[in-house]
Amino acid sequence: MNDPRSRWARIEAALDQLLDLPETARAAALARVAGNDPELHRQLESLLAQVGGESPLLDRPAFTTTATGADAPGSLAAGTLVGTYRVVGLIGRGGMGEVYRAERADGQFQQQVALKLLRTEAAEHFDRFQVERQTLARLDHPGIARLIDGGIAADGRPYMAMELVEGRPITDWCRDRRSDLGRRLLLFMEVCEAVAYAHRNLVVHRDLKPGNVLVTADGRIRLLDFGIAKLIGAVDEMNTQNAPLTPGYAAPEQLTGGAVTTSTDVYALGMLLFELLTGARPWRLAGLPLLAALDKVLRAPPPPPSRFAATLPQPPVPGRLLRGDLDAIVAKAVRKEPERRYAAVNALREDVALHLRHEPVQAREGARLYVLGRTLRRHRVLAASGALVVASLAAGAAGMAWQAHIARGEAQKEKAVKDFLVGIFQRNTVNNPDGAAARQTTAEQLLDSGAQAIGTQLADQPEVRGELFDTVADLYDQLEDFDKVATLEREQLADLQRRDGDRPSTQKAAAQAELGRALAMTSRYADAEAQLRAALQTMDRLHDSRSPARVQALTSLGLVAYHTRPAGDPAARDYTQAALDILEKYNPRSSDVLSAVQLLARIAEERGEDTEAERGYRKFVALAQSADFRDEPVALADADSDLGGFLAGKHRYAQAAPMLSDAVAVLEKAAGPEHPSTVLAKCEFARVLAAMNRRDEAAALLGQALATLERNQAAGGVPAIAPTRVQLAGLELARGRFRQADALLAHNLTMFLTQGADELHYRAATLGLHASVLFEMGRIAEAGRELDQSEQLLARAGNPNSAVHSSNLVTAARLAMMRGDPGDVAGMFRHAMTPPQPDEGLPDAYLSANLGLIETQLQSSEAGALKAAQDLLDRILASPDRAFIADWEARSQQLLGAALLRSGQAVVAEPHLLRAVELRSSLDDPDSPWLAQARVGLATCLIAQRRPAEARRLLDLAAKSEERQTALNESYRTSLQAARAQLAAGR
Amino acid sequence: MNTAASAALESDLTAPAEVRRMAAELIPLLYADLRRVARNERRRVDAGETLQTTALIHEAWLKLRDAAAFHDRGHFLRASALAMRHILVNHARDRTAAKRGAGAAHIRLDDIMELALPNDQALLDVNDALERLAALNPRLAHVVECRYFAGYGDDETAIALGLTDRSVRRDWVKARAWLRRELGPDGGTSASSP
Repeated sequence: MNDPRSRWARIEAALDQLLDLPETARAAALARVAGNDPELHRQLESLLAQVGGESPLLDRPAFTTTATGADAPGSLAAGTLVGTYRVVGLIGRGGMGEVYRAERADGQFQQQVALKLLRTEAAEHFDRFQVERQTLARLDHPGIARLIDGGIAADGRPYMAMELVEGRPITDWCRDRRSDLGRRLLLFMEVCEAVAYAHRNLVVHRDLKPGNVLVTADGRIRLLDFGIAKLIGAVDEMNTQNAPLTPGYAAPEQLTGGAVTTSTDVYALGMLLFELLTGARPWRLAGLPLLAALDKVLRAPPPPPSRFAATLPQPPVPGRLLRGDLDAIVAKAVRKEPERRYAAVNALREDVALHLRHEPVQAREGARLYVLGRTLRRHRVLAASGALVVASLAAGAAGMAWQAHIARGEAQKEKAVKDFLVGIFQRNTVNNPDGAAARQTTAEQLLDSGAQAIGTQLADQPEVRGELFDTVADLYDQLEDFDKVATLEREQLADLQRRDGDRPSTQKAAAQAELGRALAMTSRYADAEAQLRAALQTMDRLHDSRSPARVQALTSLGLVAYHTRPAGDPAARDYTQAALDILEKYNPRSSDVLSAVQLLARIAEERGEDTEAERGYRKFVALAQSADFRDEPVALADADSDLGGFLAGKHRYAQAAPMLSDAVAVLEKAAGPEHPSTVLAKCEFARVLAAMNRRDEAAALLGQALATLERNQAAGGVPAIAPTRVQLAGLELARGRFRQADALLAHNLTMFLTQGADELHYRAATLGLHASVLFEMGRIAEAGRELDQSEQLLARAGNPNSAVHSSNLVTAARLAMMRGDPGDVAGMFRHAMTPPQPDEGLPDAYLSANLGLIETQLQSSEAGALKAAQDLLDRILASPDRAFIADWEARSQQLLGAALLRSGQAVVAEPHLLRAVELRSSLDDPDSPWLAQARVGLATCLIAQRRPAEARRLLDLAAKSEERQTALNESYRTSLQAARAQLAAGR
Repeated sequence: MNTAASAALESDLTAPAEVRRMAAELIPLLYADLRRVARNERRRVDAGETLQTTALIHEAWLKLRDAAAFHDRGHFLRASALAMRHILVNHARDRTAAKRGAGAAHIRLDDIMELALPNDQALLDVNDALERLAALNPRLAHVVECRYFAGYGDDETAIALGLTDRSVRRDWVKARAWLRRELGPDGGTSASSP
């Protein structure tokens, strides 16, 4: 054991022990660790002496990009003649050569010029240089410094004479003047205009950066060196590799030898905008090791300006002003892939202008891509008033947008496909000879015509046929027309069956997976499951354990299980986890990772695993903020919406409110008001608004969401419409608008006759809430029937313990109380009471059952009722969520008032009853029966205090409200009549 | 292809064969570009404004993009680090040889002058010491290769070597201490092997 290697292993292990200790404790521990091995002691001591401290040699990479040599003198002395110009002095030097201040030597003009001297080699390609120069000389724009002249100097170096611009780099100018955001954006738009002008003249700048964008004394911008980079590239070994590039401003394609186009300038403009907004560049590349620099520019997207600004001690513009639009605009301009940037500088300029006008910006494609990648959306239905209903799930119409697997190799096949697609348009023109009519053909109609043609033509070209099936199915997928996707995939499977028989193939597996998903998306879960299982079998036979098609099949199976299995069944989680495992290993940047993480969190929430769910949602938010997804603001908005919704469901409204309000704002702009995610975020936010007693706003928001959903099937369909109506109905019930609540729920029940029969949760929720509405309206027999149906559906759904059930228990108890049923009504309320969780507010089920229980106690004149009412109110008033449960406070105040009144303490009761009326007036519809009841309660108290005039006024108001109701539980009228009788008797 | 570098690669058996093969592919590109960078370096002035490593990045990226093998980022980083080490060591060797008048005429000394390289002898000393360290624990030597010769941070080193950030930091502390002891206070050599 004495070879150097094992000897060192011992030393290293001992050293590790010492290094685990705090620095100060190491010396003391040395003797113990070394034991009686003097050599080990010596080794450790000498190594420890070298830990810490500085090592000029080792602490810096061996090779860095440090720049040197900035101070070398210019090569031309003042007075030297270059062409017709006389050198005045050196202005500066750059990668391209030297720049001098010079003046006309022939005395024709007094004008001074900037004289650029290029490298000698450039002369070898003088003809190319001249061609480029002429192009540049044609640029004539107030924002562009003119190229005046050019030629070859006496020392053989080509030169150019440019308009001499006296100005400051745009970033310095803004910094010195502390320009505000508006000023910066206006200047930036001016820059865009100049660049757009050059682009129209087919000139790309290629080296836009603050040093080339000057602001002159009159506050106008002037761009230098337009096209010079290309000019230099043109003369330098016929390539542009050695053209000057600016770290941070050079686009990825300039580093990888890709085509330099107008998009390259868009990228640099995006970086310029970033620097104007934050006062700094996202990366400092100078001094970075080579490979780190490579990695930054080619892989990492810059951080959103708003987040970057938040890290600066004194950002020139507050980060909050950058969040949203400007983040999205910069992100879109600086995408790594040129084709994903703004298509033109004008589009970039226009977006900045839209932002300044507070209109929605166009920077949203990336967001859209992300949103289309979502697997599922879920609608949590809020709880309201005594009836609380809970969420179930919604299958999002838009599923994973999987890349079409178009084999790009064979040119012939590609051409056939292209011909076919062009043919679709030609057929349209033939069918609609009127050009205007042809233009009005929708994308969907075009596709339909194409899909038909695949069926009838191309029989002799199975490869092309297969490819077109894929392409057109993918396009239908984008349009979220899953019935048509299913039809196409079926045809393709039939084709494959004819060709291959039962032989497995990747096409077959993919078609099966696509078909399965399309069926799942249209709620045909049993068929979907069969197809998806068949797809997995095909893949198994192909030994495919990780293809995108497999991930899709697994994810879709997870979705199906989520919808069809009881919450306790682990299938949904297991399938989705399997998909996520593959993605994390092989495709961790795919937005499908987000979808899978999101779905897992939702499954956990559904299973009641709150800790797991919260961890999942927070992971979703963290991922959406991570480098891989941060240029897609919608991903973050969506994650915020999910987490916010979850927290709101746990009554953590204060945390939820800002997340949801941000999410709604971002989604509305970036994804559009019709997008399912936007609609869902509105529903979640409405819940918080309702809890915050901003019920009018909540109702308006929900009304908007519902109108969108009813108008646009693609925004969600039945699985979104049903819970939105339930949510709005719950709110209407709470505001005392029973008729409206009834209408909404009846609408749902009618819908379920023809659509969405499998949506057991939503049907149960609708029936349960409807039962409580019917109860308030006095339609007791119907209420009882619907309650039973609701319970049956919950049992069928395998979800008998959901919150809908808790709420049903309360309704059942109230029905029993109303009917005077024999039996233990109090026990029923107790049974319905779920104790609050430690980090949760007071749950609705708890409050409503508690109130019901106290009411029964009060009715049977139990001694403890008054104390119980007092305790409950105290708990509500002491709750940190007090502001969010005003409805319950109103009920509780009223109940305590009634209890006090019964025990003869009218004077003490009055403030409680008054508070109930106040709260109700602020919360409810003016004609709300709840409000009427509160007035009757207060009136009774006033009668007891012999204040009939006030009492009468209240009773008249209550009577007027109640008269306006078409149907009302008799208890309302009874209590009003009782009060009137008392008033009459007192007179 | 620089033969000295490739020979050095052949003998460095502590890296996996696949990584050595990739590094051998990267060396001629990185080497040629380093020279071009050096040449351009002499002309550039505007400190911090011009990315003088463009060509180098360009070539490395072309490899990265086109070769299927480089889709594994860890392998690419590992191979690049190895390649960079051999290029820099080779440069230093050629230059010291040139100073002694021992040929290497293909290197134009003035091309390299302005590169921010450390003293040639110091770099060669680190390299020699590293070979001795590799005999004791190759992993420590790999960490130094990534951090010192390639200039990676902890995270990139971790990816390149398939370690956790934490082990990279710890390995670096140990390797650095060992090297400092080995190189002595002035970066010179002292014999104190364990």
